[in-house]
Amino acid sequence: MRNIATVKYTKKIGSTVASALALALAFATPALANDKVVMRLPWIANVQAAAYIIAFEKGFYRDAGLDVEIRPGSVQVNPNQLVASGDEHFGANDSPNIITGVSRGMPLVAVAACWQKHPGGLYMLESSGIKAPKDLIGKRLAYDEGGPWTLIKAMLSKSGVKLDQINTVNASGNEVLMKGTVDARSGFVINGPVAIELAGMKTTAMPASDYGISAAAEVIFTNKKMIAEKPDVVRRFVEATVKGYKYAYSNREETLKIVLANNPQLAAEQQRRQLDLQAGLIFTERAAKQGLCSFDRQDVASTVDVLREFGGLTGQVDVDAMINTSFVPAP
Amino acid sequence: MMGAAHQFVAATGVKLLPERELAIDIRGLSKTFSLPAGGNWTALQGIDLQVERGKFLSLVGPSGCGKSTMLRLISGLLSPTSGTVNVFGQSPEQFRSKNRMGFVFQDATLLPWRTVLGNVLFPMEILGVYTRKERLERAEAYLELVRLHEFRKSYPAQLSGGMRQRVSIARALADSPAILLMDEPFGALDEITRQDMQEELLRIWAETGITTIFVTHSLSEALFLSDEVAVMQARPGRITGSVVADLPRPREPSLRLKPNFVEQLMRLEAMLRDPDQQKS
Amino acid sequence: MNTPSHLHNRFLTRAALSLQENWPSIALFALGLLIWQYAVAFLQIPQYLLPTPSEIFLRIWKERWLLWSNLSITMIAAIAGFFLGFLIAVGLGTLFVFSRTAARALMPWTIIIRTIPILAIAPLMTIWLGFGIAPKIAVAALACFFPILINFYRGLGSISREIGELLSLVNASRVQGLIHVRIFAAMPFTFAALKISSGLAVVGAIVAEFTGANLGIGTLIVTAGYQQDAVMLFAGIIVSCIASVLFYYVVVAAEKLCLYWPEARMG
Repeated sequence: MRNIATVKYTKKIGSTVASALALALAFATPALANDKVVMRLPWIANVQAAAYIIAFEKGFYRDAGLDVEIRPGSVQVNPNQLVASGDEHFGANDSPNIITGVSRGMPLVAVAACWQKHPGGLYMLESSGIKAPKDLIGKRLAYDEGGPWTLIKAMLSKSGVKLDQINTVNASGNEVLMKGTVDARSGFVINGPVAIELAGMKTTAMPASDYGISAAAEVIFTNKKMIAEKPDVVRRFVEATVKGYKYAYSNREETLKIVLANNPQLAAEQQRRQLDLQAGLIFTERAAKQGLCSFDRQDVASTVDVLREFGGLTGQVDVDAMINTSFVPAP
Repeated sequence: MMGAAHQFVAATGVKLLPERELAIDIRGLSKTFSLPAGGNWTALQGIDLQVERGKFLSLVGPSGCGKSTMLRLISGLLSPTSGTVNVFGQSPEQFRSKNRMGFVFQDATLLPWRTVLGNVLFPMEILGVYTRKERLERAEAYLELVRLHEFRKSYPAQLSGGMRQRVSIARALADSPAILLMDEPFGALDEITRQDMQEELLRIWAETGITTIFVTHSLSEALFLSDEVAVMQARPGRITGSVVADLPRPREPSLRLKPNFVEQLMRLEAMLRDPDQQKS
Repeated sequence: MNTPSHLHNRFLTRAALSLQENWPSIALFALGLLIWQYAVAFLQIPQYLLPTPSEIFLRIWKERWLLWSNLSITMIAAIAGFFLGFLIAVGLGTLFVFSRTAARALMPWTIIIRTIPILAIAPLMTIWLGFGIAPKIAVAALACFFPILINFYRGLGSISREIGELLSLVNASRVQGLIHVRIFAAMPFTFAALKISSGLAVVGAIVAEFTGANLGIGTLIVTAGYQQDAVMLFAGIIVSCIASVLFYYVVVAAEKLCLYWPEARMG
């Protein structure tokens, strides 16, 4: 039996060889040194990260010769800086976030866009009667700076609604919505409404992707150095993660069990519903045709345009330099 | 100015009282404190003490003999457990509701945010006695009396320990009290300053004629200042004897070296060491 | 007497004196900036990880009106919260002096309020008080009220036994004791707390802006974070630091004015 924990990747080739030799002699089994990489999540290790957790727990990464350490993110930790500086090898973020980082000079390269539809959008209580962007005119809308707000602004603009026709206010949390302080709020349609529904209120959602706003989420990225020096590691990581996506969503009960076992603080029912909603963003028509996590230059370029118009993006973005679509496995 | 200060004294009701009246009359006084840890502590037991108006009496004795407690019972800050305290025929509280009692603490106990003048004015302002102009005249007069008039605008922190104590004496006297209670007022001062202060106090006492109870550790200080020295002992606090000072007034500094003074001092010391040798 | 040139000279003398006193700290500060500037260049640290001071100061200058308009909004809330916290603290402290029952009943509550993390209460304040300046003032007040209360209350009780006896001997009422003695005794303690609270109030207002506000330096900092604009992030942090320091010195000036007697000021 191969025990990955005993074989540690080190930067010194000599010692790697030495330890490999020593192990080979000791156990008389062929022991390959796994590539040790760090994956930084954009958020905590909940069902949003199901694919990575499954790829790890089911041994997909290990089988690909990778010793992956999955590190959770938080509001304060942006994976961009950590991957850009080379401290960590892979990260996930939504495409607007990565583009913004690139515009600040970060040497990031997107290699897989796993949620082809972005979960950003508006949600509201069903009782509000708001169904389309036009219904928001004269209403109160709570938003968080950053996050999906830029996509929502693009959605509203595309639907012919001007921002000054709505009373917008910068405020966090579902409470403002549930209490009726505001009529709608910005957020992610996969989790915000779920929490409200679980509290016993009916909700409706208005994802920006339904209104033709192109952006991806859970985009896996690395830095230019990795692409240049270890393209093979990148390929194996993307492939194993895609395998994780397939397994996770074909075996949702098991996935849920594993995710909850990893993080017992999560609310089971909320996670179950979120996982189901996520599937709709991942297993799209395009995924069926071109493959899971596939993306192209045009997707990113159109998101850059949205950011330039609505997200205050000013810096230089070389789209061709910041993407590499060659790592995504064919369907 | 000193004459003016004397007039203020004469203007109080005290003058109308008959001569040789008892200013302080304590009978069968006991004071017991309950201790925080439980149990009781008898601070004073069976005290009898009479002081005539205008006299200067000192209380001497070891630590814990209840000297300070005596002053607080006379001033009404504490109430007796048994026995009576009368001040000019009234209870201390009754007396203080209409008359003044000066109190000088071991530390000057000045208010640091008030000037020297402001500190002397403080009791009169709180009591609301006299007009503003009169209060100011009185305060200035008593600052003259303690020779600190030129420092009236200084703050306590800018004065020496002796000067601060003189301010507190001026404060105690400024509203013409009938009685002056002093609780080891010179205890924190160096010997030279202390002797100067003693002479200054005698001069003020002579000018104001105020009945004074003076608590001290120092036998020579007590003897030098007083008409009578009461000796106390501890556990329980009690008066074990007293000596009427057979010394001429006004008292000159050189008196401290005279055989007569030294002999009486030795007698006091003997009384303090051997309580059974009581004499009056 | 005080001709303009006279005042001018006095100002110059003062400035020279303060320079003489403070040059070590100014020199160290300048040296720190210099090292920062050249270390970033020498170690080739990218801007998105750590911008240089010159980049930051250029940005502050370029965006001075934006920074100023947002900073002034934050500072108005911080100062209003500071005064509100001060008034509540002084009110409660005074109440506690007059009623031991009130002190016993309310003191544990103030301690509980103290233990609530500001970061956790800030979103609730937005929900309760709506948007705009009210929640910011509330969070700022909450942040600074406790140190002021504790110190003010302690200061009111800091008078010696002898001063207490002196008050009894002159038949002082409790109000007189408060106005003429306890308030003064409490002032040095209170100002020690006010100096701490000046900074806490600014932090409180900024934290409130993190969770719900359209304007203010906190909003600017959050936006810069989302925009991954490290230069603007530092610019926001630095101007709010400068504002906090200025506020601190305003409190120090007020202290100098109020604690006029010698040896009144504590550390």
